[in-house]
Parts: sequence; structure tokens; C-alpha cells
Amino acid sequence: MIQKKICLLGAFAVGKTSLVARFVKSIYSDQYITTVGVKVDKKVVKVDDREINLIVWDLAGEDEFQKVQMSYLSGASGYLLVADGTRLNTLEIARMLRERVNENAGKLPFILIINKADLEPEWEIDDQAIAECEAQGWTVIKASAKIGEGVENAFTALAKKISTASGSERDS
Amino acid sequence: MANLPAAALDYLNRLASEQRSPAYLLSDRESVLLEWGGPIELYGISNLQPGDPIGEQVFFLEGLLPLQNDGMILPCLQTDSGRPADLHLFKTPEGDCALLLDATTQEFQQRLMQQKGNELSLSYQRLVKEIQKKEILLHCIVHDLAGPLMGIRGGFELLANENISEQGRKFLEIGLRQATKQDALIREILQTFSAEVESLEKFNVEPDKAPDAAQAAREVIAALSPAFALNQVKLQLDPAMDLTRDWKVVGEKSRLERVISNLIENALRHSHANSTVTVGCHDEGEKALVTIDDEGHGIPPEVAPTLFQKFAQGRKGKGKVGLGLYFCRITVEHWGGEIGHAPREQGGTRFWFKLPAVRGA
Repeated sequence: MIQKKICLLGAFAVGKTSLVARFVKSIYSDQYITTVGVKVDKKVVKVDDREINLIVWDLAGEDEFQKVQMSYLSGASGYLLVADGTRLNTLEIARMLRERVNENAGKLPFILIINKADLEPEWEIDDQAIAECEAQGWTVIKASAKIGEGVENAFTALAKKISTASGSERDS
Repeated sequence: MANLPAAALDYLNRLASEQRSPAYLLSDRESVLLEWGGPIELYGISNLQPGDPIGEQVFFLEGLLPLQNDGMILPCLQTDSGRPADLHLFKTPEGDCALLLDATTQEFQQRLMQQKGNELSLSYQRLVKEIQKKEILLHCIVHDLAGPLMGIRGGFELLANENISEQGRKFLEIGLRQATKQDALIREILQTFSAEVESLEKFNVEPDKAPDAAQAAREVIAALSPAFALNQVKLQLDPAMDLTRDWKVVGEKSRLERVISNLIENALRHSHANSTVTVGCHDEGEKALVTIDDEGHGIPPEVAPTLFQKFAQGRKGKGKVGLGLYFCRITVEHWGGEIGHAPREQGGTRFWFKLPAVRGA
């Protein structure tokens, strides 16, 4: 079976660990527990009748005291940028992280997840900000780790992107 | 380890061995597992098969091997089944080595500090957001309470154009000064008693208490007429409107009047002399439609999408603070209605809002 390493990046407390817990174990907890370093998990997804074992690296969030260590991305095939819809600055951090990934790991397939869709009426990230991301060619998926909405879709969409990208590499 | 005696090196080895539980995995240049050692099971690794790809057996090594550079350190790597470990990857003459060092203590200490720091940051962000919300609400109130003073000042200024005595003119100046003072006083009082904003959340749906949109429009028109006269703009209730019926809507009387007043004042700001602003009520079944039509220059397309957002007018400089239309939107939406604007065929703009109609019992 093909194995692909993917990473989750974003500001602290945007819900990266919750998204992984929802995706891998179908569970959710309201309690916020910060991630130190990186947590690695795995799950098999099906892309076009082909199984891919996704090795999911859930990286500690970027905060004012620590930057995301780019060496964690070594060998990654793609990544999920995660922002919290209720905190506008987390979208800025996601944009900045993407630039850092481009500088350090090259252009990899990625998807922007805007988490906490269950709190959408309280969102600070509005449609215009999302449209701006999409205008740059980003794939943006609204998701909620709490209710599960969009989570599977986001991971599968990234697996598909990776699969397409590696297919193109093979073809070229 | 230059200059360190053998005894010190032995000590360090013992220390690392006792406190960091070192374990290693060695793979060749094709990432095939060659050998391993140390308490590897502490890190959730088991059932290893030499000769098989290392990435398939130790899933967190997928993509990392073979090493593309001299090596790297990945601190505090955790899996569900093992202890947190610092992963050191480096090249040896035999192949690539993955060395795992127990990081349980470091992870625990760092998590305590990081958790506290992040929770404080989140609390701070929430607090800032709450303060911003309250400030906006307060600005809306200040803005709207200051609104009637525009009518008072307009009245005084109209009086100044009349043939009045010198003594009367002095009284007028006093009136104008007092109106300005009252404006400042309102702001000060509201800053002190901001808790009263809670009362703004109230609205009525019972027929006997629900406000009448046409009645509210009439009262606002009466209050704003002097300001319109001063600017030579006609303000009227739509002559075609049915005044024999009631126009009860969900809402609260004083705030409904503020909504209408804000929209009419907005129309005045964008009207030229000798034009007309018309206020009307229209039956749309379950909802009542209130319209404010002006004959002004229309809304520039670049402004239109953000017109009902806070401080939208302020950025363009034509209006006041830019909270009037924002207040209208949040109020109307709070009552289950909607608000918008559209260009008129004959020129100018129609501002409108719809509110659920309240039928008599």
C-alpha cells in the first residue's frame, strides 16, 4: 500500500488535534490540550479505488513563543493549513506558514481548512477573505471537528491532490 | 567529547541510558531495516522484520529516510502507543540511524507552560473581542442619541434666518451651545452607564405593543423636517400610502424610529437642493416593506458591498462616523428582518427594510 506523509499546520488552538481525532478516531473533546512537538497518527483513505495510508503529522501550533519547526515537514507529500473561523488572525498565520513551507520544503499540495464551522455565525473570517484565498487558487474547505462536517472531505481532498501530483510526476 | 575523561564519558552514558532510554534503528540507503537496539517497545515499536522497508514498520519514519542531508533532530515526537521521544536522525558508515531518546519529562514541563501561555492568549483575545463588541454597541447608541440634536440644531439655524431681535439671536446662540453641550453630556453619561445597553435587546411581537412603521415614519419626518427645510430638500410620506390601516411590525418603537431616522438622514446627506425624499410603507404579505427613496447621485459601486458594515461611511468621509447604517442592519436583522438598497430607475437610491408584520388579534 502507498504511504504518504501529510502535516497539519496552523496557529495554536485552531483545532488541528481535534481534526485529526475526528478523522482518525471519530471522536471529539471540548477540552483544549496544547500539542507539544508533534503527534503522529495514520489512517487509510480511498482515492479513486486506490488505498493510501496517510501518515498524519499534527504539528504544535504557532504561537508568540514558538515557531513551527519546518524540519517536521521533511518528506511530507502535502499539508493541511488550519485556521479558526472565529479568529481572523489565524488566517494571517496560515498565509505566513504557507510562505515558510514554500521557502523550506518547496511547493507542496495543500488545502486550507477553516475550522469551527459549527460557530459560523461568530466567524471573523468572512466570505470575502475566503474568496481572496480561492482567487489565489487555494482549495478552501469549511469544517467542524466538533460535528464532523467537512473533516473527511478535507483529508480525502488532500490525498486526491497528492495522488494527482505524484501521478503527474510519474507521467512527466 | 574532547577533554572529557573516560569517567565523565561513562557517567554521561549512564545518565543518558537511565534517563533518556535510548533506542535505535538502523537502515540502509534504500531504507531497508538492518538492525535495532535498546528498549524500542517503549516507543510503541514492535514486530520488526529486518530486510523489510523501515517506513512500513515504523510509520513515523515514512518520508524521512533515506536521509537527504547530514541529519536532523525532531523534538518531542509522539504516537498513540508510545512515549514522547526526541528523534535524532544521522548518517553512519553502515547506514541511516534513527535514535530515540525519551522526552516524557521535557514534554510534560513544556506542555504545562505552553498550555498556560496559550490559555492566557485565548482569554486575552476573547476579552479584546468582547470589549470591541461593547464599544461598537456604545458607538451606535451615542450616534443615534446624538441624532435628534441634528433636528434641534437645524431648527435653531432656521430660526436664525428669520427676522428676530438682537436679544433673540443671543438666545439662539445659547440654544446652539446647549445642544452641543448636551451632545457631549450624552456621550459621557453613556460611557459611564454602558450596562444599560442590555435594554436594547428587547422587542415586541404582541399586536398591542408592536410599533407601527407608518406612525414611526410620520414622527421621524416631523422631527427631521427643519433639517430638510434648511437644506432645501423636501421630505414627505408617500402620498399613495394607505394610512387607513395599521402598519404594525416586530420591533421596538424608539429603535424603529432610529432605524428610519438613520435612513432618512442618510438620504438627506446624499440629496441635492430642490430634490425630494419619500418614505413609504408597502404590504408584502407576511412582511411590511418600508422604503426611503431619494433623488441623489446614487451609491458608487465600490461602496455598495460594504455599506451596511461598521464604519463604512466613515472611510468615505461623506457621512458621519459610519455606524448609522450598521446600526440599522444589526437592529433589523435582530428582529428577523432584512435590509438593503437599490438604484432607482428615475435616479437616486431606494433604501429599504422588511420586518415581519404583526397582525391584530
